[in-house]
Amino acid sequence: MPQTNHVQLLIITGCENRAGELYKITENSGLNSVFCKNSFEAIQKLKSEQEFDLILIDKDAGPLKALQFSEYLTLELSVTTPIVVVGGSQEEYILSERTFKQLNDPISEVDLQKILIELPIAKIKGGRSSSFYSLNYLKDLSDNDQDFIAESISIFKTSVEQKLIGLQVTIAENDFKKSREITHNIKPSFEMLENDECRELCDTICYRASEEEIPALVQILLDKFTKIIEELKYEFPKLNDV
Amino acid sequence: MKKRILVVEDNPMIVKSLEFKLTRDGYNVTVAVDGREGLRLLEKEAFELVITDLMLPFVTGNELIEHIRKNNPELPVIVLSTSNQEETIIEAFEIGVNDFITKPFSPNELSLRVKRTLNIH
Repeated sequence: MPQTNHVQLLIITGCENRAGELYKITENSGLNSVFCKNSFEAIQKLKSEQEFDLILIDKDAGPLKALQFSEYLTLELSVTTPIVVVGGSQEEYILSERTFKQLNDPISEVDLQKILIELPIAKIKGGRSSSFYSLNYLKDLSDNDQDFIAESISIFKTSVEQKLIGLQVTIAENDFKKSREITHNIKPSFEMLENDECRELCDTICYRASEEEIPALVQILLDKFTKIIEELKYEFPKLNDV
Repeated sequence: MKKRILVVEDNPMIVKSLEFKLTRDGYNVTVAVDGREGLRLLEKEAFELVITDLMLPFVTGNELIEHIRKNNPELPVIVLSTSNQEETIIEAFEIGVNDFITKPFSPNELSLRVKRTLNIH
């Protein structure tokens, strides 16, 4: 069964407090992170052919600042890994033909999740994560029984759809205890389709998000579910009739 | 004669999978989709094993287990849990469950644990 979402982060910060904050957030999100105290150390990591899906660089990191670091990566190392600047309050800015996302202060797990979801799919490693679903678990369980698989997919659509409608009601009514119960209930359904991102979102909503963070996370979950169903309809056209 | 298993679970995908796998393994499976229906079935029918979720509507899994321990102490119970439920699982063991399986279950693990629990009891 999936255990992590397999995203590999390179984090550059010379500030111990910032490193602590980021360590806590990435640990909670189940992300694999490598920490560097300055941008030179990070360049050595990248030169060692270690691959990363995303680079987080503290706005105060040195000796190369974010812009210089980005240019060095592009021109000297031909590395195109997306870069996020951590800290400050600017929403988004473009440097050297590369879009930088900004993880604003105060940094939060929810904001990091939003950035990860916007990452190009090709940058997300781990095989299964490059798609919205996998039938491997259902195939294994049923010895590839096609009727069972089709019926399970139909149940996934109808049951999760219904629960997500209920989830939106709990948000409207500020009943966040119920929101957490619903995400607890649907988490195994996403796990059975081996969708790591939705599993992680459900876990975050259920166990770690503050009440203020839940509505935004639920919206992300709704969007991801819609994408899964869109993809499933290609393989299971009968879903259009369900 | 096929052994009878009561499954008490409110996630339809998990129910479908349990029914499919346990039926293939040669058991007679009855499903309750909430704790109240589970209690009702336990009072009117006989089962050799109960497999139950803990977070159930109306009557919780722990209340259901307490009812079983009070009224039918020999009936084995396997709890279905999700990850991050360690404390809840410990509580369930304290009130007398026999084993637990994490959702979504590994098919072989389910078969082995059900067989082992039924053989012991």
